[in-house]
Amino acid sequence: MVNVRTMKPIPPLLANIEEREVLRKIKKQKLYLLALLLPFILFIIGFEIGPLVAMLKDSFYADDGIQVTIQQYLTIFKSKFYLQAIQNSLVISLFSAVTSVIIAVIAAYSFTKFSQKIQNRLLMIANMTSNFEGIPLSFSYIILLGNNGLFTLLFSKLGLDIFAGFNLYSWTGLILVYIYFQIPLAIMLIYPSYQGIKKQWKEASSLLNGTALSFWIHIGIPVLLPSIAGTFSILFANAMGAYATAYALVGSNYNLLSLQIASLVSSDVSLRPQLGSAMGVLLAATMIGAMWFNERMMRRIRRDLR
Amino acid sequence: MKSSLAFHKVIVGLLVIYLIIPLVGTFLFSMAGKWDHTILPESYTVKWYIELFQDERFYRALQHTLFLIVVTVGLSVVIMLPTIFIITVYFGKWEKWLQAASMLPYGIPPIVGAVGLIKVYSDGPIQIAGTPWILVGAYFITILPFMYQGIRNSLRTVNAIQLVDAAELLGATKFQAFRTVVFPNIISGILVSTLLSVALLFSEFAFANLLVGGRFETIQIYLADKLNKSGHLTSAIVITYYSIILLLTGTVLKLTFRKENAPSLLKG
Amino acid sequence: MSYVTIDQVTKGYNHQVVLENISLTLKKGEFATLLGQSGCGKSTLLRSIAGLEDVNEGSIFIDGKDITHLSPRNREVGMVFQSYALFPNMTVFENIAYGLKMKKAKDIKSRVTRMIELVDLIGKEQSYPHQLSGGQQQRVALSRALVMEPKVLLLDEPLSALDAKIRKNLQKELKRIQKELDITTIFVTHDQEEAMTMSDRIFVMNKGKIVQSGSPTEIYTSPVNTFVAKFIGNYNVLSIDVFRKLVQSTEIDGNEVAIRPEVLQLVAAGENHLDLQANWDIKGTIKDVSMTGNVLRYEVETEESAFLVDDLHHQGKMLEQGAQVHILVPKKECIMLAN
Repeated sequence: MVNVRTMKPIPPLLANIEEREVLRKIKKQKLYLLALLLPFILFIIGFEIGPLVAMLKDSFYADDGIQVTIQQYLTIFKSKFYLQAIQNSLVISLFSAVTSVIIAVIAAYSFTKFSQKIQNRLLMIANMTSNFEGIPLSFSYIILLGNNGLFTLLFSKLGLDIFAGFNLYSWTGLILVYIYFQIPLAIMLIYPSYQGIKKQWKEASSLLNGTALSFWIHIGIPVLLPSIAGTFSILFANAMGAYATAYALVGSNYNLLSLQIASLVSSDVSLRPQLGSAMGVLLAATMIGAMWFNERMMRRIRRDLR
Repeated sequence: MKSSLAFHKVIVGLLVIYLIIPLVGTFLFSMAGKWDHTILPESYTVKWYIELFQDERFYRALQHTLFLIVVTVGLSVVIMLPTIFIITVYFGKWEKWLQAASMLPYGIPPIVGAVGLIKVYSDGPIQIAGTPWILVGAYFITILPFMYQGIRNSLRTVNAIQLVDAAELLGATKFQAFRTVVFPNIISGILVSTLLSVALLFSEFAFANLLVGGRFETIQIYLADKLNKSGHLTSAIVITYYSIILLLTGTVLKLTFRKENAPSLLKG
Repeated sequence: MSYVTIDQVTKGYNHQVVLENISLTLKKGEFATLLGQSGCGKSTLLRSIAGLEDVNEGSIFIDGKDITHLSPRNREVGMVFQSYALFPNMTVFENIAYGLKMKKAKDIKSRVTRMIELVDLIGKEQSYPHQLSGGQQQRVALSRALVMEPKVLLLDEPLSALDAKIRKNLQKELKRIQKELDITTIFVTHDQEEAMTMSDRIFVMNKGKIVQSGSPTEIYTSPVNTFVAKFIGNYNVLSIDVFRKLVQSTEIDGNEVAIRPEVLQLVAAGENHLDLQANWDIKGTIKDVSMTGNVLRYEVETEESAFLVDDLHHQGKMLEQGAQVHILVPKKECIMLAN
């Protein structure tokens, strides 16, 4: 081995002191950088973590705000009314998510049959209409299908009573509007995974004596499945948390979890913030569960389609 | 295979009609003079738009919304840029915390966020419930995931850490490196997430209604209030509002599309 | 007189040692290469010299000055990155002028222009990096570093993103510019051929240590251990027991024997002109022949071990697979490895 240390220069005597000086400077600089992070940390504590913790804490207090108790949770699970709200929210979310996913799976597949240019146009339409939600969307449905809606009047004049038993301001109406804003989102989420199904896979499958059907059963659907499941969980969470659409359409006429929470924490008549907090915690837990599920599914997709 | 293509055409056609009808309906309604028993309106008019544009309350609501957007998005850019830059470049091990904090709002719907915000800010030392400032805070968190992803991805795309290394070796200070080589290269990436955030805040209703309501009327609150009044006028508001959203998202799409097609800036 | 001195530098992240007690010295104007596989610590060492990484222990001196704790901007070193790190928002001219501007230097224009001439980029001054080819980008990165007249030029695998042909040209060009400016250069690569052609001195690194240093010829002809022997050439490395059995002789010692494939000679069985004075003779069978243009590579199986034998590709002189052969091993080409 060659000795490379023969020509080592003599280090200056002051090196130690200089070194310390420099290290102090580096530390000072890091402190200065940390100071720049302060506004971010304040916002996170003040408007994200703080409120969540406050809500969690508040949910374990009695209505007087002094006594620590799990009474609020018991109230929810004993009350027919609140259980009904939760059930309604769950059913609407599940139903709208399932329907939208099915429609999106079929529609996105149809998209892939067109030229790239048309596909881009279609995606743009999906993207644009996905922004049509909340109050404006509800309004649109009111003027089309409400009591004096264009279609309602038109069809009754034409003697067609498809909409005779239909009431927009009810469960069916809510479902219809929810599905409308879920479909474009579902398409945008599912479409990319069709791109992941490579043409060569189909070719390989057919060279190995597979039929189109067996390709979809053994390869296509299994590959799409995580993406479908992930999309479903996002749509479900989206519907669970939806407030504006329901508020505009049914006001407080329909018993939904999000509408109940709103009236418990901000209305003038039925103010019970601790109970609202407890319901908020339940809703947040559902949402985080759904997001966690989606994250796991996405991880699988990324692994599969690498 | 021909019949199968026809099938897909029908599917896509139905879907597009389904998605477009509410928009077209609202648009026609906003332009309609008399319209009760025909498929298309019997006469057209722009008087609803004239009425709308003469409504001072509409302008005030628009002003309020724009104020909130400018303040929130501005604050977000000013705070998030250095934060993400400093953490990715100098405190790499904290990156996962930054990511967790930034992505959490994705899983928290406004209705849940509002519960805690009302609790924290309706009494105690900082009483800002009912003022626009609580909305600024709430909106800062609402757009956090978008701003975070936009800025972080831009920093990665331009390989910011290496650019800073190179600049420092050429004699630049950290601040100079950020200003001269990082910032100019990520503006377009930030622009996209900024516009997305603007569109998002433009259509935000839940926080506005629950935290502030009529005390600081935003465009969405105004719209909700008009919902049960003149249908034609409300249609005009919806269409005006939606045009602004379209303009914003259209710009975003165009920018993203252009970026994808542009030659990659850093080869190798 | 040593110009660059690295003295017992050690670095680790969370219990993992990346650089272990590294010491080396370079003369002014020397072209030194850090050679090793990915993860051997060569890039970390380079980045430590640049000040982009902190070291835990040890010191780094350039031109007699301790730079161990200086920030990168005060070290007077230039660096070319693997992906060049050109500033995408600036033209070629602006990229090269950047450092001078930061230093508020005078006559920026003439210095940049001279540099552009040196690296042959005339006419590309106003182009943006994405409009240039890989090779041109590389030249910009090089001149951006050189225009600062750094005391040491650091090159972090600057040619690895280019295709073979451009790479060969740029190797020559780089060497020319380095000689012209007489600039002390530290080059990092995992490509032993590149290291051989470019360097005055090579430091072979493995697992955070320098395992051997010397001129390219020294490194190639006398590797100090198995790792270097295998990494630097396609050495046949045999344990001493196996080798003794094969040549039926005990006049050798050490631990292992390393023999380069191109010093071996194949003779078809039956021929009798064997020089057994200077060579050992091992009998074997040809298991495989492959041809890389100018070289024929034989895989020869013997009783104890397989040998790689390289032969220049002469017309019609190819031995068939399955042929019985003698392998002639020149005695003086056998390198005894101690470990």
